[in-house]
Amino acid sequence: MANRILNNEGDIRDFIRGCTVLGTGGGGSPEEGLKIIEKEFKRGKNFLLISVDELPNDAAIASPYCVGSLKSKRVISVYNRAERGFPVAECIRSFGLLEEYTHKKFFATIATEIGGGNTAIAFAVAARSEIPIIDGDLAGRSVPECQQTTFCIKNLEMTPFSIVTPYGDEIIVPRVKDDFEGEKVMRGMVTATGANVGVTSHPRVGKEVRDSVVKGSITFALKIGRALKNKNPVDSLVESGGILLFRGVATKASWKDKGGFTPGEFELRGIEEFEKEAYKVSFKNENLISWRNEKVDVTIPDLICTLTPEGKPVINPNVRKGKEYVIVGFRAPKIWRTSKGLELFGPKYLGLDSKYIPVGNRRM
Amino acid sequence: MGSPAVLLKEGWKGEEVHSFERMENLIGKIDHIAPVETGGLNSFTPIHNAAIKNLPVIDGDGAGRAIPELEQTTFHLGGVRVEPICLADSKGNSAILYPKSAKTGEEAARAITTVYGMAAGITCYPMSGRQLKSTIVPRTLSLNERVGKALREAKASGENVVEAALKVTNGYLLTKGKIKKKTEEVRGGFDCGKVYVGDMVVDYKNENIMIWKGNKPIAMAPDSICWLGLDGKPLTNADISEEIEVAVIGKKAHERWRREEGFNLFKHIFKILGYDGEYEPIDELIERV
Repeated sequence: MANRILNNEGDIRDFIRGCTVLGTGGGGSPEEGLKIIEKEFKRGKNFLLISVDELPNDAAIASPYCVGSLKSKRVISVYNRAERGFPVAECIRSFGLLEEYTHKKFFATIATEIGGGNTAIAFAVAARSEIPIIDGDLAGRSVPECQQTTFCIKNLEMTPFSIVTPYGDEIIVPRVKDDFEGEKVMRGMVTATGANVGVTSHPRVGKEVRDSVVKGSITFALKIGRALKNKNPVDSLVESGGILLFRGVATKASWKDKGGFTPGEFELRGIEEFEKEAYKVSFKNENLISWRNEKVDVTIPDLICTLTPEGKPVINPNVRKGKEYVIVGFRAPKIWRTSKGLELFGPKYLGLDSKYIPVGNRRM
Repeated sequence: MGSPAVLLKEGWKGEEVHSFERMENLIGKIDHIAPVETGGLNSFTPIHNAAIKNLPVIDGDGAGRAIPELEQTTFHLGGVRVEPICLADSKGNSAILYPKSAKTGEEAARAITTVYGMAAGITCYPMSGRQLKSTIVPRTLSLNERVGKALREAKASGENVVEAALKVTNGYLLTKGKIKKKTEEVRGGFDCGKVYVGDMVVDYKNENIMIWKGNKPIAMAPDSICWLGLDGKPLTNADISEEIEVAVIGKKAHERWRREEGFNLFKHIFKILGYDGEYEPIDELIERV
């Protein structure tokens, strides 16, 4: 049934690399993600991957993750005094707290998103609890807000969910009027504590998971991560379904910390086949919209991924003026391109009246 | 729990019953209900809740006054744990909190209450009868009734309402006059500001915390600083506005408050107000004047 995955440190690095690409500039810190998975690996833990189709219908599953901001205080956790910053122990405790509240033992974890930091949490919680992790996730990429999930598109509630702070406060939210409110509660706790918090949400069953997650996203992330080791990393990405959007040198890069998010933008001056052209990307944690020569190029839900020419994916706070970058696009998973998906995470989320145009279709 | 200004504007929707039911769901059968504080709304909501649930309500509360923050109770002073805390509003939102401390419980509950529109029902401090008996400020509901009756009867018979109020509360007249100015801002889910009346200034954070004459404190929490309109109408800070004529009545806090730990629960607020000193009970301050 479940197969072992990430059997050596090379695999782990490949996986984090692939997750960071799909993190579209956000998704948490890949350095932290790497540390989190390596820590479990060094303790002798196994990572067991189970496909969505193999899940028993009534198997209880849930999604553990971290909610926070770059500006969060690095607090020593009461749950693990050796830990400061990325709340692995809080995420593990939130998972157990939700089990206690629902009187269920979860059969597997599922990642809330694919990103360098947050996907690692789902792995660590699964490894520590000695249960498998599902080959799939609730987005197929990283997303800025907690209501932006495929479960929300399918009207599968996020409640009851748990929040655990590094100070030892434990919260259960049994009901919220909608997922938007749930996101606000989580964000409110980050603001109130000034720290990152551990969350476990969407306690659901196998039957519900089947048609409401992005299937195979874990193996896809690993595949991309491996492909980037090839001699021509950008070509390998294109072979895996990517679209080369731009090559350039950063002329501007800025971001700030606002309301628990990291909004900002960066601009590139084109080089090689893009000489004399200009590119701009605007982000809120993740890359949301890009312009080529001042005309809209790609928008969410499609993926706008930033890499160095050597194939190293870059998160937005690390984009530096004067450095060279390659921008690669991927079409969003189909579920995001439904009308409900677009309402939740399409041009409308950006406040744009325009219709969604898939990446690649706009190129002239 | 919430912003008095919002509650005044939006109205009360019986949210506390939802939070009580969430608590019952969690811990099982509850036999009695006790008010957590004294105030126009929160003396009433436990009575309403008890009536709906066919349970008795305790004649007493956790403070003998209204309090801005959840940990500022004689329950907490007596070692009763505030958790689990159950929050619920009328829109279907709820939360259950197991905070590390009463202080972080207050902060988390307020953050979530703010998300839920600055008004939520809250049920907390589950405890045994024995714990209640040794920590409660007793007979405050019946005192409320006596005070209200005294004011009504004084007004009806044309007597001096301020005198009647001072008599029934055993209170002190601190000052009298027109409200000259009121400042207000919302900070972290609280209504905060200053009220200038007569030759004094009152600092409030939802509730009145301190009253000064120049730079000398005249009264401070946990003692009470109360507004009474000269027409006999009691006022909250949401009601207070310029030109209204008021009497400011001070009242001693219950014995259970009058120790260092009681005052210390308000210390972080005093610090912001610029008061670094110790607790000075109202009866001692009055004697000095």
